[in-house]
Amino acid sequence: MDSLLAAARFIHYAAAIQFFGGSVFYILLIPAGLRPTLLRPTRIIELVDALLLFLSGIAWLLAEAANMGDGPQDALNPSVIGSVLTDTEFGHVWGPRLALSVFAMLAALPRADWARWIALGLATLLLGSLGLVGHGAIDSGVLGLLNETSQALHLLSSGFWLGALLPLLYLLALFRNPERRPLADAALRRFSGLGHLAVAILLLSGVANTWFVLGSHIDLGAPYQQLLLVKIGLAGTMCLVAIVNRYAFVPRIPHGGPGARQLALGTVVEMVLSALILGLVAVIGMMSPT
Amino acid sequence: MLRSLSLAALLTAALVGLPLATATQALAHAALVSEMPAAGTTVTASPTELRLSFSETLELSFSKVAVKGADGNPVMTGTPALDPNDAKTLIVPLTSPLPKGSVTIEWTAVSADGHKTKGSYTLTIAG
Repeated sequence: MDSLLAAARFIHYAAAIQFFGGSVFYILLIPAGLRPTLLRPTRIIELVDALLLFLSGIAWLLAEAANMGDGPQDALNPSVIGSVLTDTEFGHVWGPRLALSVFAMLAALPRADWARWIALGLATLLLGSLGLVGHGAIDSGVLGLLNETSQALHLLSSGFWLGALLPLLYLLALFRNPERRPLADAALRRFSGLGHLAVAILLLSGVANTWFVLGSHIDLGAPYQQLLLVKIGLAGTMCLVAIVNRYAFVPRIPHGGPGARQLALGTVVEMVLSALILGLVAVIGMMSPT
Repeated sequence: MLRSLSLAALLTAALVGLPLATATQALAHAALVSEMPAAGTTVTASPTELRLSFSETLELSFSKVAVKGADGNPVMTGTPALDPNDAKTLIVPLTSPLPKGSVTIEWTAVSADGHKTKGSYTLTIAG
């Protein structure tokens, strides 16, 4: 049941981040002239990830019913599932999130721009509210509110960065077409500018989250803290790759240079690192911090 | 490109294996901090309630206490409730007096972050 929950958590985090990143890329980063080109991939990202959010959300709920109840037989016990939804802090967040993921599937269907705005709003709620369950829920009062805010900021800024990587690959392919280059270049500049801000928020909120969850209980013998260190190491590696991408490869893009291809390769490396980080997130969220 | 793709495939395989390998390490979250009457003590008269204080806020619906007498037979208790002033403390009213001799209290606690912990302690009822 633990493996099932870890798998559901991994898919859920990845889908929430990809959904948010795809929506924000379309609304905030690309010039209007590129919207017709990116509409189809954006809607596919939205539809697939909303579906994954719903299915993995159900799996996560059933795994919680088994964990909180009396074992695997309670995963499909309607009264236990009902009790998880109505009586627990997890359930009070989870019921509305499942409903939001259904609305998200519907929002992916229309082709009009207003539907992308609705999708972005739903994506923000779906990703940010992940900070309200698990270790984000352990404090109460003002401290609890600060903890949840910091968790939400961490999730949203990671969604901006990690979730933009897939549409970024699509954007980089446009550099092969000389007519598309000026618009693609404008989008890349905007991603780079806001990306610096997102990374800054990501690092600061990461430090804050560590403090909220661990405080002074530093014990590097605890598996949670060892894996957290690995995660921080991977995040640091990802920052280095991003710096190479931005300051070594981006300047080589103009005039059909090799930069676009190199940046695409660097982006794939970032995606692999992202997947490793989310795998760690899926696992350490289930462990005791100390 | 092919080399980087095979590297990506290798890392993905390692990633998929990772949760399976480490998922069993899920550890304790809500720990029992103190209890009334205190564990291991001898009391002369049966208490009217048991109070179990934990390190974390509890989910009442999934936090349970089972009481057993020295003969291993379960003792009926009232419905557990949270202390209105402290959501980390579980109060179990005792509707009938505890039997004389050693009494085992087995608890299951689910904390607000959804994690379950279990434990037990004993009391001795003299008299």
